[in-house]
Amino acid sequence: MGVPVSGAADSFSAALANFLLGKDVNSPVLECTLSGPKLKVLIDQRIVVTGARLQVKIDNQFFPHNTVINVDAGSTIEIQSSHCGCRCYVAFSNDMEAMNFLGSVSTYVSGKIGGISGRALEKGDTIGFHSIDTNLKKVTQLNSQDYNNSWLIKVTEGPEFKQLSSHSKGLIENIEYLVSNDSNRIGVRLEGPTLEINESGEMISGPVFTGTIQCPENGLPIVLGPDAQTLGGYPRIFQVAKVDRFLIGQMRPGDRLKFQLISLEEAEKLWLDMVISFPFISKL
Amino acid sequence: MLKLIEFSLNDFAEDLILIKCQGDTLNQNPLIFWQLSKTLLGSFTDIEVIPGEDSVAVKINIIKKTRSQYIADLKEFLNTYQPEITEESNELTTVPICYDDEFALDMNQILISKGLSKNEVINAHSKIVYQVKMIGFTPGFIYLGDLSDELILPRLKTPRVFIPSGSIGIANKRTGIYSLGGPGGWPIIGRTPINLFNPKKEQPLLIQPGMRLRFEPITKQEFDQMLVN
Repeated sequence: MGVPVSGAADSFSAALANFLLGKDVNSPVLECTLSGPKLKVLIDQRIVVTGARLQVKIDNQFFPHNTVINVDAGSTIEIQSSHCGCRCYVAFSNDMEAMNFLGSVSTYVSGKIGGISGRALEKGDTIGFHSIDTNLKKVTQLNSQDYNNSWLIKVTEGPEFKQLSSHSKGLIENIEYLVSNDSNRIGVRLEGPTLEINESGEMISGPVFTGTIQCPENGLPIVLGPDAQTLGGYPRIFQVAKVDRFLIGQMRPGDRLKFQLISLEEAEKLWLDMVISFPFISKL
Repeated sequence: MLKLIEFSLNDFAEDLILIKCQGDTLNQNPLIFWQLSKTLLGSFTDIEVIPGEDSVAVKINIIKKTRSQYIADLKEFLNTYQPEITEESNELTTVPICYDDEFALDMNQILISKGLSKNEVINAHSKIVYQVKMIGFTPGFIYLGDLSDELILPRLKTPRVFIPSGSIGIANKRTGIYSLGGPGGWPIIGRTPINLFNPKKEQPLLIQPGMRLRFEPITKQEFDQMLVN
């Protein structure tokens, strides 16, 4: 039907937040992009904030990320902004009420699907909760990676990798791209030296997925995000390795980015190793 | 006995396998990958599929089984796969389209590169009864073909960041309906006022691959009226 994967742009951080609360890792969370909301808490909750290090202030006191915080009814949570990373996640011990479509409550803004009326939250919105029993894990804190403003992203060859000119193939790992302002949950557009496609690149639209890197005729790669289309007609030159796919959600305009080409075997092994380190991601 | 189709398995990602077939098969059965996708979902419990017109991507779970094991299992499955024989659908859907300059964002470019008058372009686009080739890209995007040879154009060199919902584009042998607004790389030839995708309905999209569809030209006035209704 053409409905994108959707869901958290940094699915690792979202899963981590739920995991620390002892919830199903795919439970709904709030995704805050570049800056966060101010929330008035109406019922007692435990919360965890993960992802980009946006500062967390509860009743004027700062709290760390990746840690279970008890918040009483009546408190005010303020999620501020940060200079590194793009999105942070707030998970709640109770389950948020949200619109379900095809078994998911993820907000997909272009389709007006999921979340609260299929749109980004606005000032004055009220979020409802079902209370659920969560079994708090023994681990109440876990360190995750810090971000800076430059990325080295592991990629494998895409189905149309062969269409890149040999000059571009030789150059690819040395190019430093800039994340464009035109980036969002659909795709991260890159600025920098252009790549050359040998054939005119006209093809029947083929399947794409989160992390597929397309190269339109202008030679500037687009890294597809969770709200991207399911089919595309531009050459799929690379695919971001699964182990780095969740980082797409943390790239912010102005960040620098380089690619590192690895084999499918390495990519498979890296993911299995990561699942051993963080078993809760096996359901992602 | 039916001739078996020769499929090939291609690398896409450590957790994605791309299935393609010989060119001739597509001419004989344009809906082969739509059918194959449904059968795959029924036969494997731990995969997802992303069907395209000339291929399907199979998303595998490399924690459950290794990639090479999936490849072996898919090969075995495809070796004996026979597509169901489907009858041509007689159902014909008519979709109104307005070719007004306000909506046809790339009409001027189309006229220049094809050396046709606007009436010739409208006639070439609306005279054909199209077959729905695939649904996908964004929710409710409808791929239709074949487009008249006179109108064949490549995709835009730089895709647009946003195209309004209802926009109708052309690219190579296809014309397509953007049921939702969003980014897109097809030259835009017109717009329809009707909404083809509604996630609130039990059947969000009434159009399925294999159905037939034609465009009916309408004026800007009729467009505005239908939009209000």
